[in-house]
Amino acid sequence: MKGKKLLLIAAALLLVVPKLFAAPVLIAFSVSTTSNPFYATMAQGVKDEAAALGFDVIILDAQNKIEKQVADVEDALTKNIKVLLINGVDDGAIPLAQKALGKGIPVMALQRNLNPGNMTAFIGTNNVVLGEQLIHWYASTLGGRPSKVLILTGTPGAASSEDRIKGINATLPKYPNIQVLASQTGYYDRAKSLPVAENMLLRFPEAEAILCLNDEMAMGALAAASSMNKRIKITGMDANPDALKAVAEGKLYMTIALPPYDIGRIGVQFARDVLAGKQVQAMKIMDVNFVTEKNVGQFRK
Amino acid sequence: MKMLSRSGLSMFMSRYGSFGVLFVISLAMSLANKSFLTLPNLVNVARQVSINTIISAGMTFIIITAGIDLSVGSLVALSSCVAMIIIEATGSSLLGICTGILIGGAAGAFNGAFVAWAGIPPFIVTLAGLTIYRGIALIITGGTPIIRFEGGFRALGQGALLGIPVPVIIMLIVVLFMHFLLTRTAFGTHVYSVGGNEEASRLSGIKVGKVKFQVYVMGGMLTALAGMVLMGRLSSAQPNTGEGFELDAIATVILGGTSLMGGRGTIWGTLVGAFIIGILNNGFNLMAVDAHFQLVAKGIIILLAVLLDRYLKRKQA
Repeated sequence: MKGKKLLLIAAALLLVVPKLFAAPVLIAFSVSTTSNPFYATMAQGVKDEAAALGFDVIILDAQNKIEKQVADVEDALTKNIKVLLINGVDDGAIPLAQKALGKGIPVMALQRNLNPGNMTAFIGTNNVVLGEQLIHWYASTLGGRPSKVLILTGTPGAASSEDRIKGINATLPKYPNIQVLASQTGYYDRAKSLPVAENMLLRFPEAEAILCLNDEMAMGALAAASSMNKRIKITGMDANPDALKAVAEGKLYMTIALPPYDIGRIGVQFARDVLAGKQVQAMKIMDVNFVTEKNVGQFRK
Repeated sequence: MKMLSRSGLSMFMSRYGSFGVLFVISLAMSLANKSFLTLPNLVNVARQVSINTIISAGMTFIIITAGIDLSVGSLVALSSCVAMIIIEATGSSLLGICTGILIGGAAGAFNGAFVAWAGIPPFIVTLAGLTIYRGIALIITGGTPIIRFEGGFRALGQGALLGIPVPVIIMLIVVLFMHFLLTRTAFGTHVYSVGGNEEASRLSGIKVGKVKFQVYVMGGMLTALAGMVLMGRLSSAQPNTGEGFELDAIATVILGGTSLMGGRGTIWGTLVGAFIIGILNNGFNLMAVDAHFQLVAKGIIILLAVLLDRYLKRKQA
C-alpha cells in the first residue's frame, strides 16, 4: 500500500518536475528591417503577444539584407526553436522557410507571402484585396450617387501598385455609378505626382475625387489641388504621420492604416495554436482601417 | 529685321533648331487634345517646367565646360531639408531660404574644387556628391519628410504676381540673367573657351580651374533655388525627393542643342528643351496615355527630337 503510494508520487514528480525546470517554448521572428516603423511595430506586436502567452522570443533584424536573414535563420534553427515567424526581405526567404519546414518547424509568414507550400500560414494584408477594399469603401460613401474619379497609381511595374490596380479594376464593374476619368502614374512620389495631378485636374475639372495608391502621392495631389484653388476629395494609403495630420485638418479625405501590430500578435497566436495541434487558417488576410476625420484621433500618436 | 534676312534666319535655325521641334510637338499636342492650347494649361506647363529649367540653366554652363553634374537631384533634397529645418527652428522663411541656397553653393564648391583642382572627372565627383548629399539629407531629417502648411516660403512655389505664378517669374529671371552672363560677359566667353579647348584657354591666360569652380558653385546655388521652389510648391521638404532630376536636366540641356563635348550651347535652347519635356509630360497626362506606354514613347520622342534638331541645323547651315 505504502509502496504503491510512493510510486504514484514518484511518477507524478517525474511528470511535473521537468516541466518546472524546462525553459519556456522558444520561437523566433526574423524581420526584414526594424528601421522601417511599419516592421518595428510588427516586431513589437510579436514581442508583446509572446510575453502574454509565456513564450520566449528572439527577434532577428535582417537590416533589409537577405544574406543576413539567411545567417540569422540558420543560427536560430540550431537553437531548437519551435516555430519560425518570418517577414522575408525578398523571395530569397523561401528556401529558409523550406529548410525550417523540413526540420518539422512550422513557419508563419508575416506580410510577405512566401507562396503556398513554403509556409504553414500567411498573416498580412494583400494588395489586390486592398485595391478591392478601397473601391468598396469609396462606393459606401456615395450611397449609389454617381461619381467621377481620377486615380494616381504607383511606380509602373512595382508589384504593390500593379496588384492594387488589379483589385481596383476587378471591383469597379460592381459599381457602375463610379466612373474613372483617367488613371496615371505618380511614381509613389510626392514631387512627381504634383504635376501629374495638376494636369489631370485641368483636363477633368468635373472629377469629384482623386484616389491615390499611397500617401506620398495623396500629399502631392493635395499640393496640386491647393495650387489650383480646387477643393476635391483626395484619398491615400499607409497612414503616414503627415497624411494623418492632413486628415485631422480636414485636407485629406481618407487614408488607409494597415495593422502591423496585429499582424505580429496573430502570428504568435497562430504559433500557439499550431503547437497545441490545432488547425490554423492558411491565409489570414487582415482587415485594414479607413482613417477619416472622424476616427483619426485613434491613429495619431 | 536682321533676323528675317536669309543668312539671319539660317543662323537662327542653326542655333535654335530645337524651336522647330518644340513647334512640331506643340502642334501635335494641340491637335490631339483640345485642353492643351488653353491659357490655364499653358500657365500650368510654365509652372511645371520652372524647377527643371532653373536646374538646367546651371547644368548648361557646366556641360558647356565639358563637365556634368549628377548630384542635382540629391542637392534639391538636401538644400530644401536644411532650409525647412531652419524655418521650423526660427520661424523665418527668409533665413531658411538664404541658408538653403548657401548650402547649394557649398555643395557646388565641393564638387567644383575636386573637378577643378584635384583633376577627378566630373562624372565621378558628382556621382559621389549624389550619394553624399542624399545621405546627409536623410541623416538630418531622420528619413522623414518635414511638412509645414504656414510661412512665407510657400509663396515661392504657390504665389502669383499679376496672375503670373512666382515659379515662372523666378525661372524667367534666372534664364535672362544666365543668358546675359553667357553671352555678354568675359566670364561667358571663358566658359565657352574652356569647354572648346582647355589647353588653348590655359595658354591664352584664362584661369581654367577658377572658371570650372565657378560654374559648379553657380550650378549648386541654382539647384538649391529650384529646391526652394519645390519646397514651396509641396509645403514640405523631403529627404528622398529629386531622384532622377539629374537625368531630366541633362536631357533638357541636350535637347536644347548643347554639346556634351563642351564648347557649344545656349540658355535659350535649354529653355526650349525644358518646354519640350514639360509639354510631353503634360500632353501624356491630358490624353490619359497608359503609364507603361508613356515610358517608351517619351524615350523615342526624345531621340527623334535630337535627330530632327540635327537635321534642321545641317539643312540650314
